[in-house]
Amino acid sequence: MAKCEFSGVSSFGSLIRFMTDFEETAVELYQKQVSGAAAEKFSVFLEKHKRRLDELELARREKLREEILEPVMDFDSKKYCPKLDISDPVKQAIEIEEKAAKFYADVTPRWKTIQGEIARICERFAKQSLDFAAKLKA
Amino acid sequence: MALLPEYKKNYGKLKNYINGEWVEADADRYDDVTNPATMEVIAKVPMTSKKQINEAVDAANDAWIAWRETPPVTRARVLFKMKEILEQNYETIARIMVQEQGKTIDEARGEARRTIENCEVATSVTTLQMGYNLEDGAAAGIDEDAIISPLGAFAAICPFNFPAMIPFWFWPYAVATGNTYIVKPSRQVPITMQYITELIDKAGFPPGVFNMVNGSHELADALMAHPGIKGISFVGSSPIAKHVYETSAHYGKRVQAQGGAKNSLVVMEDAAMDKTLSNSLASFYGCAGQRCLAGSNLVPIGKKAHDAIVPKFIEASKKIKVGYGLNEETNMGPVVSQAAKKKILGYIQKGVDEGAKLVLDGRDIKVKGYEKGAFIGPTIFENVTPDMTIAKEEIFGPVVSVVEHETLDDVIEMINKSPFGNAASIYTQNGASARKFRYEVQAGNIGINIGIVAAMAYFPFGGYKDSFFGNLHGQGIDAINFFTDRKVVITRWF
Repeated sequence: MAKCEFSGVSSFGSLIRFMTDFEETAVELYQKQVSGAAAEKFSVFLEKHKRRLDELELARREKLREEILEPVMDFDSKKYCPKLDISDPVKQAIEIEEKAAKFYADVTPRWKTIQGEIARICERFAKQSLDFAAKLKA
Repeated sequence: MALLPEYKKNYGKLKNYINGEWVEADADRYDDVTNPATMEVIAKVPMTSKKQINEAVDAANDAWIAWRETPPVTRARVLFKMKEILEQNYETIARIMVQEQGKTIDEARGEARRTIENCEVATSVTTLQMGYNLEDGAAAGIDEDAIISPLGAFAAICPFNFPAMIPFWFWPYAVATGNTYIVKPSRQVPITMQYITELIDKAGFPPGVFNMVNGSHELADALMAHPGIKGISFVGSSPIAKHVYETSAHYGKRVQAQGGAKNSLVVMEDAAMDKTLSNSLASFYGCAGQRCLAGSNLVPIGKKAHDAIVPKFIEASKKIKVGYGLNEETNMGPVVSQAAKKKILGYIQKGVDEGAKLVLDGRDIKVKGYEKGAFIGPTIFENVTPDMTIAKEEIFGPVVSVVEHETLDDVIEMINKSPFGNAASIYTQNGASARKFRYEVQAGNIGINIGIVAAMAYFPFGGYKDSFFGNLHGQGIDAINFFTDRKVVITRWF
């Protein structure tokens, strides 16, 4: 991982793609071998992020409705891009989780007007990522 | 963002599917199927002869008795299998649609979902087809039953705008209830149904229960006239829908014929403007305006509503990303063909000639990398009066006519005067206005703070006036009723 190359956001599909980009980045990181206390956390968070990816894929397939296929405008996705050049895997994970938490929290109100089910997913992911970051710091 | 990969670059010469077999078309002509974003030819579609349609009708009728005798629960199981196969191929179906029709991948995924949902609803046939009875219903000791029975072979003549979903408004319900079926896809977008038919072939239907034949309007006319066909389902423009209704009725068939539309989106001054803005954009520009539920007239009631919505609508329209639909960031793809583009450009010119003010002109849009594509950018007219052509006729493109009115009564009168009655929407936070609108507007699909009133699979897809000819619609219970009849049995035992 080096430069964040997440997709731009202007539509339902690209917003979901941005979310899956986040999750795939986390999965890739947590697959790294780490030693010590972080190892178990990495293993648990890896499974959680894999499940989150599955959930987003299901959302892409099943939550999309013609009635709510509204263009997504004025959404600055770049500000949520995590730095991906941190050499310490734990610090890198904290960066990803904190950026993810911020992104999911900020995007929740936007989803509330488009698709309430996805808003609930984002709300949950935001809390979860905050929790992961706190545990990584502990 | 990188483009999502196409399933195939070229699909070659398409075939027909008759009696459970893929057969070479008996055709003296093949038409090009074109990707409207690139204008590359991606398949050749046969214009099948009338002789071969007879083979398909014979196959459907030969298969009927055995299929009718197949218990509904068994028929449902085949549809469950069908649903599963469709799920496995969901993304491929969506990408093929983008390739041949031009819609965006989001729109195509939405369509693929609705396709599957119709299959899901049809699996409930064991409940939906259940009849009813009344002990002693005729007299003491004499019982009366109503049995809901299938009729035989049916056919669908399908349009270009929803290549997967629209055939599924009909055929899953027809075969679920014990009928057999022939689908004729649009010759402009036949690849999607070709691919889906490959999946149908794997689901386990007996030969002849489902058939698919490609061709032109001559083939459609042959189906309408054929004595072996019990009923016709059609979706297209209103003049053709009327022709299908009259011709099929002449030959004694059941008909459901969905026509065109001219849908108004009414904005009251008390509307939640930000939400109205984003939702109405989706209605006007979704599928590049090529759907019978697309908004066409934007109607603010009074100056306050106009000033609150129209300037923002124009600015937001400029930000709509136009491009190839396989880029997930695209908001609007091309129209289906250069011929469609030419027709839409003709309407835009007519708007100019009749004195409307062109405030956003999408005619000369250039899409980088797709310079040959059939693209039209968002186009907006202001100062449109109800008597202008662009306010009255179906344009079927991303063209918005801002038609101002002073009262809700005036706009309801305008909507009700239109020969079309497909959909109409109101944006308001006032319950009384919303109630008046839904009560008085003569349209089959009413939106309240929703600009795309697309009935789910378990509701009928409606339409009033020249937007629908027939009485029973596609989808849900209406479809079950269209494909069945009631047989009353009165029984006495001594």
